[in-house]
Amino acid sequence: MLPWYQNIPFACIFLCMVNGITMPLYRRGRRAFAVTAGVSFAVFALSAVLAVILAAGGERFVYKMGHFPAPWGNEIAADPLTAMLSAMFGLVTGLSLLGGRAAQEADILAPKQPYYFVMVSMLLAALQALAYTNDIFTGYVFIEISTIAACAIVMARDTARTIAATIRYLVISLLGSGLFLIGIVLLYCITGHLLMPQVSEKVMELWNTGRYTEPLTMVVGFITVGLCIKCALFPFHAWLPLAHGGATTSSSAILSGLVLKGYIVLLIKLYYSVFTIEVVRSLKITSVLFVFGIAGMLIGSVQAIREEHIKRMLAYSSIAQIGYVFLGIGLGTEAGMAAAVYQIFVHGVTKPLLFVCAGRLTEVQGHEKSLYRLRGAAVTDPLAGAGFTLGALSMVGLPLLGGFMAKWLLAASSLATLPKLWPALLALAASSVLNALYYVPAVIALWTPSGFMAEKPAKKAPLFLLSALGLAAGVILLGVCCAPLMEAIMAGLRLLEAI
Amino acid sequence: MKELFKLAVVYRFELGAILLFGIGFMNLLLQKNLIRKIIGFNVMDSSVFLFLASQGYIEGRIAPVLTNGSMQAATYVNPIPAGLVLTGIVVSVSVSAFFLALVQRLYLKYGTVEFDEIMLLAKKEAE
Amino acid sequence: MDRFTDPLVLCLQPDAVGLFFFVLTGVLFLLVSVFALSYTEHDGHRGRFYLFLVLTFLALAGLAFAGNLFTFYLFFEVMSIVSFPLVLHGGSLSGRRAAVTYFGFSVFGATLALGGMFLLGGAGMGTFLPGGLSLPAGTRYTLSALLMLAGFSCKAGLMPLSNWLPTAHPEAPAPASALLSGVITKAGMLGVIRVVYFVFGPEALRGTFAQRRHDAIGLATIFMGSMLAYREKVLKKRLAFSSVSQLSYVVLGLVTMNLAAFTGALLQMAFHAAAKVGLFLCAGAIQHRTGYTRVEELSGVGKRMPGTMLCFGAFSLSLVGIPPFGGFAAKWSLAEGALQQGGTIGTAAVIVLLVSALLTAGYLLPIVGDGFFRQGDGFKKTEADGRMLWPMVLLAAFVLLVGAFPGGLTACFDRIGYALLGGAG
Repeated sequence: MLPWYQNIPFACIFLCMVNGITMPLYRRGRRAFAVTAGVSFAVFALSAVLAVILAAGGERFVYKMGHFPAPWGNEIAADPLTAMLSAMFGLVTGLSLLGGRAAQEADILAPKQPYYFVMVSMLLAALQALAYTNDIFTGYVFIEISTIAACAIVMARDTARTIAATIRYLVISLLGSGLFLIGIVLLYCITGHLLMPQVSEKVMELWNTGRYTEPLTMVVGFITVGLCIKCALFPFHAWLPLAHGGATTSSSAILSGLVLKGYIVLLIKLYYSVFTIEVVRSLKITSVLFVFGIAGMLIGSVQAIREEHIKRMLAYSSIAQIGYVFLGIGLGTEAGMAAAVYQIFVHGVTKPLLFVCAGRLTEVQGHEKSLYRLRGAAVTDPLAGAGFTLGALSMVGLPLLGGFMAKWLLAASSLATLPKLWPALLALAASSVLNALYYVPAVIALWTPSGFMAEKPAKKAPLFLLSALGLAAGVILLGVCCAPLMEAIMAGLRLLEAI
Repeated sequence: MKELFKLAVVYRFELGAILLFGIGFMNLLLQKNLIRKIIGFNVMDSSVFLFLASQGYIEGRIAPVLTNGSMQAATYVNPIPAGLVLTGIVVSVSVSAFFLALVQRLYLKYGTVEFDEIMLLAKKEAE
Repeated sequence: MDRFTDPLVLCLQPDAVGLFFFVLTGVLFLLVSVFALSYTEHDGHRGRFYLFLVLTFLALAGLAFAGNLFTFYLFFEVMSIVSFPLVLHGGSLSGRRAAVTYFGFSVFGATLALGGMFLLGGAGMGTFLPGGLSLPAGTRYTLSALLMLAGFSCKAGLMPLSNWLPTAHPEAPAPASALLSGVITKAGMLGVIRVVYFVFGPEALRGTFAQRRHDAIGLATIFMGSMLAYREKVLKKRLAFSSVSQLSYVVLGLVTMNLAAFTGALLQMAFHAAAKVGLFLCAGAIQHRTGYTRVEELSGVGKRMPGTMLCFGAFSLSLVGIPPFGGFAAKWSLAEGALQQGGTIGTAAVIVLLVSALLTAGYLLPIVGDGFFRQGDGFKKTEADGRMLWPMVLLAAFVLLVGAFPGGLTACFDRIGYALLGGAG
C-alpha cells in the first residue's frame, strides 16, 4: 500500500485540471474565482504538508502513473525541493488571484471571467507537473500547456495592445518550445528512453565512452536555449515588458512570479538528474549562462530606470531578477544552485507583492499607470504603499527581507569559485545600486502628495488586504528563516543528483 | 561525391527534417505576416515529427499493429515515436488553433495581419 | 558551505563604545528635539518630522548596540531609509533632489560596505570582539576591510564620495541638518571603529594598503574640506563642508591605530558632534528669526541675537581648536598620535592639522567678528526664544567646561582604547 502522502502530487495536479475543466459551468465570475482560489490554497496546503513530511524524512519517492512499471510507464517524482516549489506555486497563485480581484472585475468581461480561471487552473496544473515530472516528453507537453495558458491570461485583458503583446509572447515561446522539442527528440534518439533516471544512465554511459558527444552537446544546447528563451534570459527578454506590463494584475503577478520560474525549475531538474552537473560544467554551458545572467541583471535594471509605466518598470525588474537566478546556476557549484533556487522563492513572492500593490495603487488613482500620475497614491491607500515599499526594499536589499538573503547567498556561494568571483560580486553590487536607482524614486513618487490624488477615500478591499499581508509575510519569512529553507533546498538538490 | 549522394539518400528523412526545421524556424521568427508565421510554426513542428517518426523506423519491419498473431517485438518498428508524434500533433494543432483565434481577433480590430502594422497601431492606442 | 547562513544572526551587545555612542546620540537628539519644537511651530507637518526623528533615533540606538556586522549593516540601512524623509521635509524641488542624492549616496556607501561583507564571508560575521576576530591574513580580507571602511566613511563624506554632503545636508530643516551632520555622520565613524578594532583588529590592518589609503585620503579630505568651506558663501553649506573636514580628523585618528590617536578620535567625535549640532542650531535660529542664509548677510547679527552669536563663537573656537574649548583637547591628542606614528604620514598629518586649524579659523571666526563688530541691518533685538536658545547654551557650556577639564572624558576613552589596542602603541 502506498503511504497516503505519495498521492499528493498527482492529486494536486488532477484537482487543478478538473477545476479548470469545470470552470465553464459557472456563469458568473465570482463563484469561479472563489473556487479557483480555494483550489490554489488547497494545493498549497497539501504540498506544504508533503514538503514537511519529505524534508523530515529526507526521502524522494516516485509515483507510477497507471501502474505501468518503468521504463514503459510514466512517472512523477517528488522530493522536498519540488514539493516546496509546488507549495509556493499554489500559494502565490491563490494570493495573486485575491489581490488582483478588483482588477479582474475591471479588465475582464463578466461572462468571460470563468474562462480566465480555466486558464489559471491549467497554468497551475502545468507548473506543478513541470516541478514533479520524471519524464522528459511529459515535460514538453506541460510546457506547451503552460505556454497556451500563460498567453491566454495575458490577453484576458481585452485591449489591442495586450493581444499584440500576446502574439509576440506566443511567437517567441513557440520558438523556444520548438528548440526544446528537437532537443528532447534528439535525446530520445540517442538514449532510447524517456524517463529521467533511465535517460541519465544512458547519458552517463555515452559521456564516459565518448560516443555521440556532438549530439549530446547539441541536445544540451537546444534544451538550454529553448528554455532560456521562454524564461526571458538576456538576450531573449524583449517580449517580457509588454506582456507582463500590459496584463491584468493577477496575470502579471502569476507570470512574473511563477511561470518564468517553472521553466527554470525544469532546466535545473534536467541539469541535475539527466545530464548531471559535471557534464554541463565541462560543456561550459554554465559559463555562458553566467555571462548572460550578469548581462540580464545589468540591462534589465538600466532599462527599468528609464521606464515611466509602473507595471512595465516592474517587468523590466523581473528580467534583472531572472539574471540573478542564472548567475547562481552559472556558478556551477551546488551552493550556487541552491542560492539560485532561493532567489526563485524570493522573487516568486516579492514580485507578485509588488504587482498586487501596484494594481491597487493604480485602482485608487483612477487607473493611471504612469509614475508621474500615480504620485500620492500611497497616501490614499497606505497599506498598498507600505506593501510596495516593502517589496521595493527587498529588491534593493534591506537585511531581514528576502532579497538581501538571496543576494547574500549568491555572494557567499561565489566565494568558492575563483575566476567567477569578481564578476559576480561586482555585478551584484552594481545591480543593487541600479535597483535602488529606480525603486527609490518610484517609492518617493508614490508617497508624495500631488494634484492627481483622488478626493474620496479608497474603497475597502479585504481581498487585497489578505493578499498583500500574505505575500509580505512571505517576503519577511524568507529574509529571516533562511537556514531551514536552505537545508531543505540542499537536501532536495542532493536527492535529485543521486538518481 | 557518389558516397555523399548515397549518404544523403540513406539519411533522407533526417536531412529533410533539418531543412524543414530551419525553414519553419526562420519563417516563425522573421515573417511579418502572421498567417505565414503560423505556417512556419507548423512546418517546424512537422519537421520534428518527421525526424522522430523516421528514427522509429527499422528497415524490414512492419507497422506496430498485431499482424498474423506475431507477438515478437522484432517484427515491428518502434512504436514509441509514433505515440510521441501523435501527442506532438495534438499540441501543434491546439497551439495553431489558439494562434489563429488571436490573429482573427486582431484582424477584426485592425483589418490587417501584418505584425509590424499591428504593433504600430497598437502602440498608438491609449493604454 | 551549507552552514554559511548561520552567522547571519541578529545580535545586540552593549559595550563601552556602543554606550558612548548611544549617550552622545541621546543627549544630542534630546536637545535638538527641544529646539525643533520652536523651529517647526508653523511648519504644518510637525508630526511627520518628529515621527522620522524618533525612528532615526531608534535606528541609531540599534546601531550603537549592534553586536555583529550583519546587525550593524541592518541598522545602518534602516537609518539611511528613515533619515531620508527628514531631508525631504521641505518638499521643495531642490529638497527632493537633495533627498535623492542623499539616499543614493547612502545606498552606494552601504553597498560598498556590503561588498566588503560579502568578501569577508562567514568568518567575519561573528560577534564583535575587542581587538579583532583573528581573521586569516590575505589580500581578500584586506580588500574587504578597505571596502567596508570606504563604504562606512562615505556616510561622513570622506573623499571621493563627499560631494553629496554639502548638497544634501543644508536642504533639510536646521534641526535635521544638525543631526545629519552631527550625529548620523558619527554612525559612519562607529562603523569604522567596529571594522578596524572589533572585526579585523589593529594588528591585522597595521601597515596594510587599507590603512595607508585611508590615512592619505583622510589627510586630503581634511585639507580639501577646509578649503571648500573657506570659499563657500551659504552658511549651511559652509558648515557642511566643515563637517567633511572635521570628520576626516576622526578617520585619521582611528586609522592611525595608536592610543593617543584613538582617544583623540573619540574626543573629536564628542566635541565635533556637540559643536556642529550647535552651529547648525545657531544657523537655524538665525535663519528662523532673520531669514538670512548667506555669510555676508550676517554682519551685525550679533546685535540682534547676542546669545545665539555667543554660542556660535564658542562652537567656532572649539572647532578651530583653541584652548580651553573641547576641540583643543581632541586635536592635541590627535597630533600626539600622529607624532607617535612618525614617518611621512605622521609629519604630514601634523602639518595638515595646523593648516586646517588656520583655515577653520579663517572660515568661522570672521563670521563671529562680523556678527558682533560690524554694522547690522538696524533691526531691533530678536533673540531666539527659550526653547531654541537653551539647547545651544547647554552645548556651548559642554564644549567650554568639559573642554577645559577633559580629564574624566579622556581617561574614559583611554580605557576603551587600551582594551582595543591591547596596550600596544
